[in-house]
Amino acid sequence: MSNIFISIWLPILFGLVFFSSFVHGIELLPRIKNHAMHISVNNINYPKNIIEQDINSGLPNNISLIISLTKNGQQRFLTSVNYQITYDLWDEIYNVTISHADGVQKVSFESSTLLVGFINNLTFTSANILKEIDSTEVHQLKAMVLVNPVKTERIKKIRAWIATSQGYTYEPERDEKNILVTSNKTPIMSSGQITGKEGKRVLKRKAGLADASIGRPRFQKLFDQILDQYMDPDEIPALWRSEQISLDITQQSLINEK
Amino acid sequence: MEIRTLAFKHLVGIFLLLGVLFNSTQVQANEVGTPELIIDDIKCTGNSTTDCDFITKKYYQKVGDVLNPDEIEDAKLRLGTLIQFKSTRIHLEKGSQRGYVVVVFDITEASNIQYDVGYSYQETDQNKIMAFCPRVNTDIECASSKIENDISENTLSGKVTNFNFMGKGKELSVSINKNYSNSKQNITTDADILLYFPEFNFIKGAHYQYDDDNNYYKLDYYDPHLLDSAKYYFRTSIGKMNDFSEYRGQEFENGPGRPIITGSSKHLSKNIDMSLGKRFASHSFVSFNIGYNSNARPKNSYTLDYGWNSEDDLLFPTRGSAFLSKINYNSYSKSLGMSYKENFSVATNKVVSLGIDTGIKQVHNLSSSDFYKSGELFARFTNITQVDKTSGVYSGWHASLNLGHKKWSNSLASTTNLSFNAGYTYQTESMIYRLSLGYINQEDK
Repeated sequence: MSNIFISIWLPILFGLVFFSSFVHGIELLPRIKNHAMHISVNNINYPKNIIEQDINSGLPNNISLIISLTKNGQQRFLTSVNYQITYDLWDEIYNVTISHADGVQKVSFESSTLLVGFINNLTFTSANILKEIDSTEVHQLKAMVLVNPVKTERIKKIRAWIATSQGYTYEPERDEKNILVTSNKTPIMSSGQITGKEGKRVLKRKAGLADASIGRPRFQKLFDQILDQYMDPDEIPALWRSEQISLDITQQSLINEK
Repeated sequence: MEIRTLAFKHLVGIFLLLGVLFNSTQVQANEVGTPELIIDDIKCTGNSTTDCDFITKKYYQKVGDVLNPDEIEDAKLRLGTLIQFKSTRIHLEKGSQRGYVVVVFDITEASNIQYDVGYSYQETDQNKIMAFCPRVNTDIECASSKIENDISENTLSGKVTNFNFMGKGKELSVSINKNYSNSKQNITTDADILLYFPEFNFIKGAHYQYDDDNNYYKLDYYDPHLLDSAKYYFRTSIGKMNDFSEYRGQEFENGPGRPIITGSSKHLSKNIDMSLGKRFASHSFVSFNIGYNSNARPKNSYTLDYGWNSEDDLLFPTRGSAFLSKINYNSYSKSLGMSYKENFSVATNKVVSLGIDTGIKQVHNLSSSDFYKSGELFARFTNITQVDKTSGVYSGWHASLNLGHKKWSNSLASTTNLSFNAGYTYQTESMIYRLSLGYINQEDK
């Protein structure tokens, strides 16, 4: 029995513990200090390519922290903090511009380790949010992190570009059997032949606008992912998004560090 | 529903908030004097088979311009729509001096060879009643005849397509199509008539059998962006068909199996098609097409097309519509056709497509009031059973029904056809497998 436990169950338990450390999501820690709410969002597991490649690209990368407070499904407070990170190729430092409703701050980091430490533990302070919390009621404090959110205007612009320059405009060919877009003929990219008044002709049955006969390689491309998010009214399109974490809070449950 | 609406409102609020913050970041950054970067060079990495020009054409800045990160984002999304690339990363490298940068497009190419194989089986029942008036000596004798035709058709097809031909996103495909059909035809008449040869005069019925073996080879080239134009496209194809037919006929009314005729024929034909088109507005296009077929009468035909296609996919469309109008002219006839199809997503991965197809055709040497008209209604249900967007695996089956009617305007004769088709399609990133079964019932009166 003990051998079975060691050979089967122990590796499984070890695997579960090991795996759980990877799937552990972001943490949301609110507290009150000096009559303001300080919110820490920790443990943000950014994908490797963002940490290793995107932030070193020399191009601006935007990380948006979105905080909201709801009560019984009604939104009481909503704000966003944007961190724009740009790596300076010559000075080899990371410049971060932090923008929120109250203003703009700039900070710099001399190494990616310091930068990653900073963006892994984002903070937000607001006195206004406290005013929205009723004394005894339970509220839901929510947080989500987006990397490089994509603006609606940009999505519309790319969709317009697809519509005008990337259409599937294969040439249709009508044949005497009256096969056009409504064809239910064999969806085989074929030719056929008919015998009619005009003699035996080779006819393309495929062609048409959208006869199901034409196939193309299909895999989820970058824009497909963005578009899927865009089509979902519950999601904000972004190149990467964390899970949305929600915490039930009351005024009493918050740690008050006076 | 209310929750969805509420969530949508929240998102609108967040978007407005993000928009304000992005703009304020830019304004503030400019105020504190963020140095402008000048583009020193634009280059590509990871493009082992793709021409760098094909990639950088999607980026609308040039060497010497002030770098605009928004343009980079746009280019990344444009490249992120193409089937030629798995992923695209864009980064900057130091240029010749401080403030000058090299824009580097680092791409991962997708496999751009696609194989497409299919098999279809179709059964057709044709019933035709017509007056049969052969010349017997100097007289013409007529009899009413009934023709029953039972056609079985097997088709095997294969196609290989390169979607990144010459590394420039052009498409080249080679296809082979093998079709074998067997037709069993019974002709019965209400009076003895002459059939083909004097020695077999005056029979009341005959049975014919045709075996038709047809091979078709085709080379297709499609340039979606002619001369690097976003609007113009060009398509051409060259095809060759070998058709071998065997036929035999026997009398069945006046004695079993008296042979009437046997024989075989072989046809070779070549065809060339060319098409030049222009995209405009949203998903719309107009194109001019020229077709040549060595075995057709007449050999040349010309077509002008106008249409649109906003379907989200060609193999498994779930939304969008397609419209096509065609004007065709050749030295024998002219025709006009219009088709419309719309897809409705009735549930997750379940799509109903409805369509209509109409056409008229006029033969030059007939009076203008004598034309051939046709119409067809179409309904199709598609159930997409597998969707794996990451690996590109899709599968689904469909069933469709067509009801069509054709007739000459000055004739009582008409053709009504009812057809049913069902099929299954399985697609991976580099393969498409298709199976299709069809049945057509055609009544000619």
